[in-house]
Amino acid sequence: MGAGLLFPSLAFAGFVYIFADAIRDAGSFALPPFARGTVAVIWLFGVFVATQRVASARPRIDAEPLILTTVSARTVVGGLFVAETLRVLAYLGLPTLVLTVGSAYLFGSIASILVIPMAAILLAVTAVVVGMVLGYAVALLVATSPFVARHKTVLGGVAAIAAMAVYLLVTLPQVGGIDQAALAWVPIGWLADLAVIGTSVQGSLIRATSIVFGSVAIVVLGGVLVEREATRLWFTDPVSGHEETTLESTGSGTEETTDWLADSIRPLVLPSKIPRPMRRVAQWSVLKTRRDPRRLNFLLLPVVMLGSVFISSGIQSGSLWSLLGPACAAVLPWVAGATFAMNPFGDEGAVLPVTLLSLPGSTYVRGLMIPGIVFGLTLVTLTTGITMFAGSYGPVTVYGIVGVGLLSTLVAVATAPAVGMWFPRFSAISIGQSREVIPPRLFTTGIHFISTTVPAGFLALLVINPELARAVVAGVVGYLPAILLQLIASGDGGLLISGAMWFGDLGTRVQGIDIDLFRRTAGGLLLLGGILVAVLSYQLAVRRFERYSPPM
Amino acid sequence: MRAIETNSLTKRYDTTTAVDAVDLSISQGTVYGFLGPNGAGKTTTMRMLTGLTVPTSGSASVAGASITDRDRLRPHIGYLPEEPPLYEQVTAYEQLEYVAGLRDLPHNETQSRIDDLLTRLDLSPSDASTRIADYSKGMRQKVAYVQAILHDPDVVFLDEPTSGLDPRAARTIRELIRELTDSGTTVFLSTHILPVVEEVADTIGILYGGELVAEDSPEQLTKRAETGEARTLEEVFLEITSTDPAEQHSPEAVDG
Repeated sequence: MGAGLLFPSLAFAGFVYIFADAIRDAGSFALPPFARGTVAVIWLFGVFVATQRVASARPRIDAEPLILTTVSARTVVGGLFVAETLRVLAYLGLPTLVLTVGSAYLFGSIASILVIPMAAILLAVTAVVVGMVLGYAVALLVATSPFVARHKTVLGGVAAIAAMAVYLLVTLPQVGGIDQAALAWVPIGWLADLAVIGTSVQGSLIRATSIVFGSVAIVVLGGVLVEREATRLWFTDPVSGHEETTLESTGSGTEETTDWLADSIRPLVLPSKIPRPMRRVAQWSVLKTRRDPRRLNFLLLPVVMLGSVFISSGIQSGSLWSLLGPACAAVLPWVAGATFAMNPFGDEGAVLPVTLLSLPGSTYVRGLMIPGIVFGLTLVTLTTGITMFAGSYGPVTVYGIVGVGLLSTLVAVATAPAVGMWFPRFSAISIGQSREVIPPRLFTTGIHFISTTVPAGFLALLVINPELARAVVAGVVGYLPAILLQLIASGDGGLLISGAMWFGDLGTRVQGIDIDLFRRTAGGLLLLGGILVAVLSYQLAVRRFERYSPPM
Repeated sequence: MRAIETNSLTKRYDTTTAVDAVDLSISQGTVYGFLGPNGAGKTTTMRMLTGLTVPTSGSASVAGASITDRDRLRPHIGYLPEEPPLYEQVTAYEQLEYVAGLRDLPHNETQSRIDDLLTRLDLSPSDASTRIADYSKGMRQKVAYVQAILHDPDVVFLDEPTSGLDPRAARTIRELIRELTDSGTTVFLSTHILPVVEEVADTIGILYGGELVAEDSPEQLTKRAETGEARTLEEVFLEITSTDPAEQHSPEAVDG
């Protein structure tokens, strides 16, 4: 999220600097509805995040018995509100600074120094307080309704998908037919009218004044509501959302027994031919994921980011299905690998010492890989195959891309345990999310994501468009370094220019390679490299397990 | 063959010596009570003996397997750490079946053994079908205990096995410990509940500041060497581990 705010802020700063004169010359103009709508979208996103954080991650407080017997619930709510607001402001800080300085620089507006930060603070506090009201309401519902408690994961998933769909509808007008301007009627968008005071952009002073008082009212009323909800939540014994497992046999005799783990993961089934220790590790891994799917939240960010980029560019270019098939072959293998084995030691939690003392590393690592292979290969084959056929590709290309997906899945499944075991995460607190869910490190997720999707994407490109693949290689190893070196050298000549020329030649030579030869060589190297990396990763993971000493 | 044999077993963390040249020789089928104040190095010793922590120097074998050879060590040992090693989102049945499966124990016999042990510890099939997240501390401890002995290990390491248990369950655990030793299993028992050690241990070792400062049978340990006057184990423990040099008894005198 930080990067998502940093780059637009820098881009905006560059835009203001480059086009300052042109903007000043444009004279006075009315605040467009789009601006109000954009503020409303940002606010709604903030409310969604705050609601999600309160409802699913932090409905209860640290050291609850101590805190609730020491200070009032109002004090606790106040503290939580301040903490959440500061967190939001930490994200809004840079864009607000850039907007303030940019506005003051462009329009010479002293008022901007006051009103833009004020608008940002009101945006943050209102989003947080409304998010807390909604979040505690949801948490209270989960704590008091057995039905909601039992189905909270499914209900939460539906709500998250619905929110994501609304977000896409608004941010991708090509899909939903509505854009940000359609949300200009939401009063919180009037903060834009407040922010433009003192500039040549004409907003409504009445709206600006109204939203200041309105925000104060939201904070006061919201604060009272949050206090009541939170107090009720903290002093209520939550209902259990766990259903008792049905006993099909007492287990007291030997003639009729129950396979509890196998029953618990149904309708998913793992082949009974798999040796028992390996099968148990696989079932355990699936069961943990199923009982606590929030641990998969880490998968959403890259998938949503890439997914929205693909969908957006696919719609704009009118070739959504052509892009979707190769994208599935590049990204789904990563999902298959990361879903069950991205943080094996952290996922084991307190059970880790017992696991380490119960079976050899090779059995454990193979067991971890089984769900990814059994379910991942099926998912990748079906999804990639269907989307490729929908993309009107010929059979050879379809088979080629499905093959890329299969190979990438095997590599992703084999590398995930190694990466996850070398960089385990045991604490959930440090990432500010739920205390119960321990996601993998961002670093491990990033490493695994890049090391599986980039080669897979390149292999897919080799199959679909080898000329473009060759051009990419020529650009990355030749032309791009040449341009960079030329920029650094600034025409002074010498060693850097010689280097730039050498890289330029290299790019040209790569471009000159016969396309069939390039395809065979690059494809063969990636294939061999993938197999080698998979084997080495497996060995590395086994060795890590055998020598691992869990923290005390 | 001794069940546990250590030779100058040492563990250092940077400048801190957690366990300092500990020598143990524990007979098969006995209970070794391992005492010491908080931070004395008991857990570190147990982790070394179970192969979870690599010693800085020295050597040790458990049931004839070197502690640095996890593959050979694994089948012989069971371990109940201080924090019950359980996953909250599964039921006791699922947890125990998982651990039994890791050790490739026969399915039908294991289920029957699980039921027997759980019943002895007053855990009903209904309890065992409930998620561990809903368990009390004592129920967790019982499941963790069953998990540690499920595969009938040669040597079982128990770190505070009666912690959080009601008197009836604690009594059952003590009986089970005795049954284990009767069948030839060696129990390495670390606890702060001194009456438990006094009742079940054949030998008691007291670790203080990483060093084994006393080791003897409960009877000998509680008998003052010079006068033969009997004391409680608590008095002996407090004397040996006192920070006041005037109160502190020399280990040699206590060590029988």
